[in-house]
Amino acid sequence: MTAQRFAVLEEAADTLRRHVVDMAADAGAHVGGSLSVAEILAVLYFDGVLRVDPAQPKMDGRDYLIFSKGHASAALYGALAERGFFPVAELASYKRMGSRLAGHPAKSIPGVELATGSLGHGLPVGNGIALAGKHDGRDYRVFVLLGDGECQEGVVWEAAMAAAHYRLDNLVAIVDRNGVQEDGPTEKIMALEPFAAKWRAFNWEVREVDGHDVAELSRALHAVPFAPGRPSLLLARTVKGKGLSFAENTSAWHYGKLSSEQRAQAFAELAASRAGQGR
Amino acid sequence: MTVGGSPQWVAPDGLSAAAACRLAQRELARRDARFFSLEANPDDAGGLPFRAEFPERYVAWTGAEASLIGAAGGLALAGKIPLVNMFSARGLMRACEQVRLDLCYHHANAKLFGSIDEGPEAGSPEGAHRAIGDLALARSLPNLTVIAPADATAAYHATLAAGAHAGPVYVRLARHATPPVYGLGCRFEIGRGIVLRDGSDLTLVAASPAVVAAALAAAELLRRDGIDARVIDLHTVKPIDRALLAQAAEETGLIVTVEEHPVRGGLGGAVAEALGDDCPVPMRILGVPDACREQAGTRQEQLRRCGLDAPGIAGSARRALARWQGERA
Repeated sequence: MTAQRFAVLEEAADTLRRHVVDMAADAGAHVGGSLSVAEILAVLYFDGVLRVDPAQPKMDGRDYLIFSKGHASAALYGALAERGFFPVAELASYKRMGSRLAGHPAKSIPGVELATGSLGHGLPVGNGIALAGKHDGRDYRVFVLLGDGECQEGVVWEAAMAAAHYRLDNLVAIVDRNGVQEDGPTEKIMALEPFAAKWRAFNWEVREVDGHDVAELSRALHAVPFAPGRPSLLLARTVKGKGLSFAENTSAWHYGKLSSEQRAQAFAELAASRAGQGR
Repeated sequence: MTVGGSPQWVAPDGLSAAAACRLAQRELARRDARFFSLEANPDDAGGLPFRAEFPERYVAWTGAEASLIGAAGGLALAGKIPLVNMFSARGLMRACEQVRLDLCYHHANAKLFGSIDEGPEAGSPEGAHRAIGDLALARSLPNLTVIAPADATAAYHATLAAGAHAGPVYVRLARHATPPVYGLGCRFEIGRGIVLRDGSDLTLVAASPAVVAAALAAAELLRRDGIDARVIDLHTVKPIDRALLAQAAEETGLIVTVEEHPVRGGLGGAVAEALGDDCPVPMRILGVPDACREQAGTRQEQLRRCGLDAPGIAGSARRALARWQGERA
C-alpha cells in the first residue's frame, strides 16, 4: 500500500514537471526552481499534508501554504490546478494578457494565500498567521516554501528569530536547497553554509531530506512539528532543473523559454524517467 | 462595533498625538477582540496602555520592522486587525516594500501609527530618526489611506476612525506635545477636511501636528493686516477632500499649503494635483526645503528656520497674496 502511495506521488510530481515544461515552452518560466520543488508540492497537496479544500479555498481552519519563492509559479499553478482549485485547462493561459495566472502568484488565484515573488516576504507573513493561530488556540499549520537563494534576504533571518522567540511550532518552513541561484551557485555568490547549523542556531528544529524522495518528504511533513515549542525547518536537498538534463544544476535555466526541440526532448526525458521507475 | 468615538473626548494638556493615539488603541481593543498591538516603538512617552490591559494581544517586536510589517500582514490575513506602533523612518521607509506588498496590495486591515520624530527634541528636520518625507511615500502606495491629525485630540479621534475603516491606514504622529487645535466636539471623519476658520482673501491648508496650530496663529497675524484668511485642516491627505478644496479655491483664490514635510510630494503636491484638475488657482507650497541640513536645534527652532511658524507662514502668505494681486492688476 505504501509503495503504491509513493508511486502516485511520483506520478503527481511528474505531472507537475510536464505542466512546467508546457508553460516554459509557451510563455517562458522559472524552469530550474519550478522543477526542483515538484516532489515537495506533490507531497504537500496529494499526500494529505495540507488540510485544504479546493471547493472552499478560504475555508476556516485550513492549513496555509505561503509560496514564498513565488517566481516558481509554474509549479504552484500546476499543483493548484491538479488539486482542483481551478481548471487544468487554464494553465494554457499562463502569463497571457488578461489571465489571472501571472508570472508571480496574484492574490486573486484560488488557493494562493499571499502574492509572492519579491523575495523574503513569505516567512514574516507566515509568522503573523501562526501568531493568530496560537492566540486563538487553533490547530491549523502554516507552511512556508522558501528558495535557498531567497535566504540571503536579511528579513528571512529577522523572521526566523521571531518565530523561535514566539515558539511558533505551528510554523513549518521548507527550503528548496537546490544550491543554484539566478547568477550561479549559492556558495559562490553568497555562501549559505553551514546552512542547517544557521537555522539550528536560530532555535529551529531542523530535518534534512532528499527533496526528490517522496517517501522521505512524506515522513517528514507528516511528522511536524519536529519538536514541541519550536518552529520546524525542513531542508530539502534538491537539484535545480531536476528531470531535464540540459537544465539540471545550472543557473542558465533559472529562467527560460523552451524551444519546440527542447520541449520534445524534455518530454522524452521525463517519459524515460517514468519508464525507469517502472510505470 | 461602534464606529467613531465620542466627540467629547479631549486630550489633557501636554499629551502628545502619539500618546493620545495609544489611548484610542486601547479603546478599540476594549470594543473588539480582533485588535492586536504590534510594537516597534516601546519607549513611547505616553506609556503602553494597550499592553497593560491586553497583554495577550500585545506583540513586542522592537525593531526588525520589515518582518514586523510582514507579520502584521499575516495577522490581517488571519482575520485580526493589527495596530502597528512605529517610527515612520523605519516602519514606513525601511519596510516600505512590506507595506506596499503585504499590506496595501492585499488591502490588509492593518493600521500603521508612525511617529515622524524620535524624541521630544528631535533636532534637525533631516536628522537620522526623522521621517518628514513620509507623506510623499505613503500617498504613493495603492489602497493606503493617509492621515495627519492636527493635534492630540484629533489623533485620538483619527485612531478610532482608522480602526473602523476597512483597509490599510497610515497615521502620522508626533511624540512630543504640540499646541492644541481642538477642544470639545472634534468630529473627525476620514476624507473630510475641517474648516477651522472662514475667510475670503486666501486659504491656508495645513495638516499634521504643530503646523495646523501655526497656520491658525498666522491667520490671526494676517487679520491684523486686514487679510482675511480661511484655514483648513486637511487631515486626510489621501483620499483628499476635493470638494472642500475646489470650493476654497473658487471662493478665495490663492491657496497656501503648510506642512512639516519636504516641499515635494507631500500635502502641497496632493493639493496641487487635485486643484490642477478641479479648479486651478495660484498656489504657494510651504514646507521644508529640499536640502539636507545638519544643524542642531529644537523642533520649534527648526520649524522657525523653515518659515513654518506663525510669523513665517503669515509672511509667505502676505508676499504670495501681494504678488498674485500684482499680477491681476
